[in-house]
Amino acid sequence: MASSDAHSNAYSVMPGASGASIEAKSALGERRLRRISAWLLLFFLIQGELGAVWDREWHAYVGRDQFWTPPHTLIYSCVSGAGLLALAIVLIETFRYRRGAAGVDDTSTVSIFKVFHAPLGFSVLGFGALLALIAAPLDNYWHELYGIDIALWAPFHMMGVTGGLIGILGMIYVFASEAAIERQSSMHPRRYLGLTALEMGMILTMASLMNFMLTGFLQFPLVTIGTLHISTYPLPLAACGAFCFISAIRSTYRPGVATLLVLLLLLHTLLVELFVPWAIRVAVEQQGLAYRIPGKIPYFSLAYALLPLLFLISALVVDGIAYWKMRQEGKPISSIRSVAVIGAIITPPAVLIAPYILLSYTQYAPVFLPQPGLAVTPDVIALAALISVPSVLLMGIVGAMLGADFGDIWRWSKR
Amino acid sequence: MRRSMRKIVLYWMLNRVLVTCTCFLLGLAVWGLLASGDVWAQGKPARTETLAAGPYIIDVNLYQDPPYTDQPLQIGVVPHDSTLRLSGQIVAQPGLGTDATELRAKLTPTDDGRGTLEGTISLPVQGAWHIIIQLDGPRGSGSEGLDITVGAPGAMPAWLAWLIGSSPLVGIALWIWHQHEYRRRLLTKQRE
Repeated sequence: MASSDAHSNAYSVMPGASGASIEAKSALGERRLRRISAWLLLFFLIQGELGAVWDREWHAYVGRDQFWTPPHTLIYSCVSGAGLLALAIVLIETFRYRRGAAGVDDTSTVSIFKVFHAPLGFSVLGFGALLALIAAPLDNYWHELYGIDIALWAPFHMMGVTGGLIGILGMIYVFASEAAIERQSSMHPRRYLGLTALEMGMILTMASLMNFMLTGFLQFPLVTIGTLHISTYPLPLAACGAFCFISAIRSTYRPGVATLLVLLLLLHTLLVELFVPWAIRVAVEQQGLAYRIPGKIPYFSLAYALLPLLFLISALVVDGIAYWKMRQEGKPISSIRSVAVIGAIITPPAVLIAPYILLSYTQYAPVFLPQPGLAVTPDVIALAALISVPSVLLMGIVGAMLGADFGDIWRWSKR
Repeated sequence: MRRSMRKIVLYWMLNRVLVTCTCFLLGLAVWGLLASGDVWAQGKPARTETLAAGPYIIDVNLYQDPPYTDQPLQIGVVPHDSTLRLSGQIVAQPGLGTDATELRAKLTPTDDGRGTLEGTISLPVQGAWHIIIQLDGPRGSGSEGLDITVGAPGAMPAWLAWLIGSSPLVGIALWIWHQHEYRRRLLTKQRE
């Protein structure tokens, strides 16, 4: 344990005496290895999420004509790249751990199957990538059986999505552990908008997580009560928004970071929306393909690009409370009860604004969708409200509470 | 004492779940690789149909019958009049009950001296398909089609598919619980 501590403190040792200098150099090498990998992973992630939105639109406008469509190539090259990088880091770190290299010890790695030793984030990410890769042929098999239009709620789609989600969480761990090591060292890194580059990487990854949710949230199923359909898309919206805002605040202690998250997400969706319709048009022309519905050609959608604005009020509320708490207690939103209350408070604005932004984008924008030609009685509306309002609030609360748990881990864990 | 026992049991369970999940996933990957083995026929055509594509009488050779999903179906078009120099394409239209989009592939001439055209097309979904041969030549253009049924691997029961697809969620639930405990330890350490 003593040697472990010596290792973990090596990063803060300034080069001076020869032994300490070698150790500090080795620790710096370790930091460099993990941080370059983290930024490479972020690149893969942005590539993958671009592929995911492109794939969704490709399905809608062109149809899934084969497995190796351009968006699938983008997605699976990202998953393979990230997975192989994670595998390489796990093997290198295991080797360095066994050699007793500075900066690689029990405080900065976890044991996997009692054989490997690697940072938690890379291990989680590797598992997510493996899951997504295994889901790919199984998903293809499902498409072969049931056609190209099986929705998101197919077993192996869900498996792939789960893998993606695990992978993104792993990436946040990678950035967060490095940010924690940096924070607890004697280094004073440059800050951008109050955040270090590593914290910025973490927030960018969280923005990608939110973008991942926006890619599929409209595919969530409809629940039918009497003559009324209820869209379930507010559920992931509420959970993911609350999770990301609270975890961002708790991991950085920076009021304003939730709003920054929304602005970064806005940048994501804007760039994605600028790229995807253009890419589909070019690919269709170059490959001599036909559109599924003749004349239905994709163009830039302002509604989709501005979708992240649905979170703006919620983010401002979180930042406002965090600012107030920081001034009062020096810590942002500490008790679990206040986290739950904030989760419940920030959910309604997002859920109420979403349908207005989505109105020109999809016919499923309204949460309550009466069945065509059928009258909806007041008792059906009352029952629908009675079920849907608590459900969505609960999702917001659970998201916020999970965000608090993960936010604390991301602030303190050096693994 | 009881707390540390609980921790040991939790770690043991998590470790077991991770090992089981990994073995299961690797097994699935191996199964996926084995299941996608190539089975198409080589050499002689598996089915030949004589068609009149407008002014052209042709033999359409399918080198696999029934064709399999996502495996290249090789199609040969042999005109009865070997002096004709034809060009054209294959159009695959999904039949009734087949959820897919229309696909196209080019027919390219071979050097067999009989004016044979060849092309391959991969059909991504099982079920009924209508294959249309579109030809262009000295007598103008013409097209004719034939129906095929594309086969697929045996269907996995839906419950099994959902069991496999949602199995990682068990791991996630355990993971969240583990992280909850980890956070508690981290915060205790910070307070100390």
